[in-house]
Amino acid sequence: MPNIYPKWTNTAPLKLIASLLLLVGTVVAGVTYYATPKWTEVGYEPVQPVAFSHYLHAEQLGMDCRYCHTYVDRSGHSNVPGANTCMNCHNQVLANDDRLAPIRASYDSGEPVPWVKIHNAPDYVYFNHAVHVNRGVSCVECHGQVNEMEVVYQAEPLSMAFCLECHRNPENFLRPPDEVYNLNWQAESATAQLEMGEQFVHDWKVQPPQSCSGCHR
Amino acid sequence: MKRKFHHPEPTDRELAGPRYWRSPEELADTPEFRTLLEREFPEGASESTEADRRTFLKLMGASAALAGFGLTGCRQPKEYILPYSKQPERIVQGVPIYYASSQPVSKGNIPLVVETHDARPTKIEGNPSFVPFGGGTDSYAQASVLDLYDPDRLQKSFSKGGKTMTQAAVLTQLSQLNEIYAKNGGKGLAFLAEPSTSPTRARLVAKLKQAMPDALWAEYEAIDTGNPDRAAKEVLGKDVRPVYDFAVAKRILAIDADFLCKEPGHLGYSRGFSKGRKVKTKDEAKKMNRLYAVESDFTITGGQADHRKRLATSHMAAFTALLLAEVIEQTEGKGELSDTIRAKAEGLDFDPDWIKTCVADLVAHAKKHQSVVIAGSHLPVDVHVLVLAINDYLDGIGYTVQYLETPANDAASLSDLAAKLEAGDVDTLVILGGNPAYDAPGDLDWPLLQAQAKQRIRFGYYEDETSEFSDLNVAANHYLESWGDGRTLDGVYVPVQPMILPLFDGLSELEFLQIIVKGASQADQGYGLVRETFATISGKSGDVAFHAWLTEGVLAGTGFKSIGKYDEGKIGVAIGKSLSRADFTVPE
Repeated sequence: MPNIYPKWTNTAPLKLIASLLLLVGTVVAGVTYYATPKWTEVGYEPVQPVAFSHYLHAEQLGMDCRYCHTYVDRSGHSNVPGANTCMNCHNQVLANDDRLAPIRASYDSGEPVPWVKIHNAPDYVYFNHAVHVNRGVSCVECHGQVNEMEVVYQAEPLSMAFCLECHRNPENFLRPPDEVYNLNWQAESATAQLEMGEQFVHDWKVQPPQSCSGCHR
Repeated sequence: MKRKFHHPEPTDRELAGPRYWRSPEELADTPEFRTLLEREFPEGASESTEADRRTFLKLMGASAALAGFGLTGCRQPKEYILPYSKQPERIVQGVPIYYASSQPVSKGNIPLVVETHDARPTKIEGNPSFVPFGGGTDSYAQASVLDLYDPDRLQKSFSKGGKTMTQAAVLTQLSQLNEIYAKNGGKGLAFLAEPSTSPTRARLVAKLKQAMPDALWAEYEAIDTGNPDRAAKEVLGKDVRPVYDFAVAKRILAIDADFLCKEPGHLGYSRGFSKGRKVKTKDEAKKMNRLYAVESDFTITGGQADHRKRLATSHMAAFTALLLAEVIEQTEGKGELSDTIRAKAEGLDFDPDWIKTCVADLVAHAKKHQSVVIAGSHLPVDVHVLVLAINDYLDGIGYTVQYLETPANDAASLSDLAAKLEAGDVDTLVILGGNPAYDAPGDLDWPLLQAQAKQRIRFGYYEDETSEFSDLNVAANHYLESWGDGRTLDGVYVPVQPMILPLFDGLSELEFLQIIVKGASQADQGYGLVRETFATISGKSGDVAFHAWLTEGVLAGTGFKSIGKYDEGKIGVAIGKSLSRADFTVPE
């Protein structure tokens, strides 16, 4: 009987499957690494209209977060302060400094200062600041060490996996309510954190939603 | 290969007929036009600039690749946070603030609680402090918040010809009006307004009549629901209004009356009716109310009715007469009166047994004052006189139906104003709200009448049919941005409170009237006037009482008083009068 098929067809299927696996694997790995919020969003550090340094104000001067971010414990939205909050000090401190010109312009004209938004949750997700902050979740858990940032950058991916990490195990991340705004606080050890966290979860009946409709309302 | 079409040569007939052309150039048949015909593509189209096809594709491919995965393809788009320049007190972004107010309606205001976000009204709900309505609103009240943001609303006052006017110019013109008419006692000045429950406006109108006694104040609304009140005034001799209590009524007959959905006060009536409907166990079933409805249309009330009959509106008068006759026969006995009435209502095609059974049911519950008959407010006055008589025979007055004493309203009617306009006695006609050019009765021919006035000033919300014929159109404010007050259907004093400064250059109604009546306004959207009225009605003039009223949204103890005892002899007289002057026979 003559050879109908050429010789190379013997190894062709194997080669095809192998190369396909390699290709698909590369694509999946590439997407997982490069196309998820951990790569695309962490480290986002846009240039702001005014070079505001959280390190100076929050760490060195010791101002509480809530002096400016006033509604973080009262509303679902956390707010960025209006120019009047800045002018409380800066009508005397560095009153004519060039770097503060946009603030003074905003205060005089009524136009807002165009701060660039860094931490952005999509519209199909419901997130309530007050609930988290009042229940022992500190700023650092989601925003990183803001008190050491000269320029604010996004420190955590804020993806669904990131949120679920805490929602599934809140005892790893809770702290006493009066230490929520103390960004330098740390538990003594991992076991101490777990012990304390589990105590809080029990005492305060912490039940973070894990079903879809908890956030996708 | 290009297909060549061989069109047939034009025939002689076609050549002799009219030559149709598609452009002036074709008609002129210029040499340029002929070359244009020859060339398939106009000049410049077939030559490419620099690149040929290959280069073009290369460039396009590269750009597509770069755009997709290049520099900013996967980056999050730049978004801005725009905070306040000066953060206002008390406003927490994301947390709404609620204000009590009321929607001005001609018969009775609806008390509201308005939700505001960032100082902008967003959602309207009823005020549960007003117990009869229990926090209910109708669809018009719900929709009224959108009127505030209507892009079609007047943003600036304008004079004839569309010339916009500043508010200062409007105020000047209006105070000039006051100067002229204060001197001559109002001769030649006429007003046409929509009815309002506002005691403050009534106070201003009284002041107007004092300062300008010859001025005419007329009130008119497109859909008139005043017949029950007129009938009651005729019979009982006082300004009264029937208000029903369906919670205590066990047997109800509705004559062309959609009291669950359309009649004034339906918000309270549907609540009361539902209470009467509610039974918790099978044994309580006997306590459930029963509704008979005779109607000419498909209505909610008819849908809820236990027994419903269909009857044309023009036959309702005859039906009511037969009903009265049957009620008289079953309560007092057959006699001359019932025979006269039956004779009047000849020719009605309606099942007499139905009437008999219905009346028997109503009469059986009359002992405990649990029966009531209600007629639709569009039915003639004489029907309402008969219905009042029926309710009197059923001993319902004071129980299932209350006659509340309302403040006297001596406003002129639209026909009085029309007569004055025809006679040429009106120099300045001021129209407050409404749209008479659109909805005044057609036989008046209002646009022609309006033209008889020498100067026409219109205070309104939209540019509409009436504003077309007006010399000055003053932009009105929405009730959510003005101060005012009002009364509910049963007389409880409620505020109209603004929760946002006027969005545009308009005036609120009280301010507008104040300028014409007093010569100047306090520029406070009517606040000062309302405070004065509140002090008079409540007897308390401090801030505490006023703010309590604004917080609660109702002032307890200010409801209209019931008429109490009345002379039953008047009823017999009224029946006789109605029978003699009205025609109860069924039309052909």
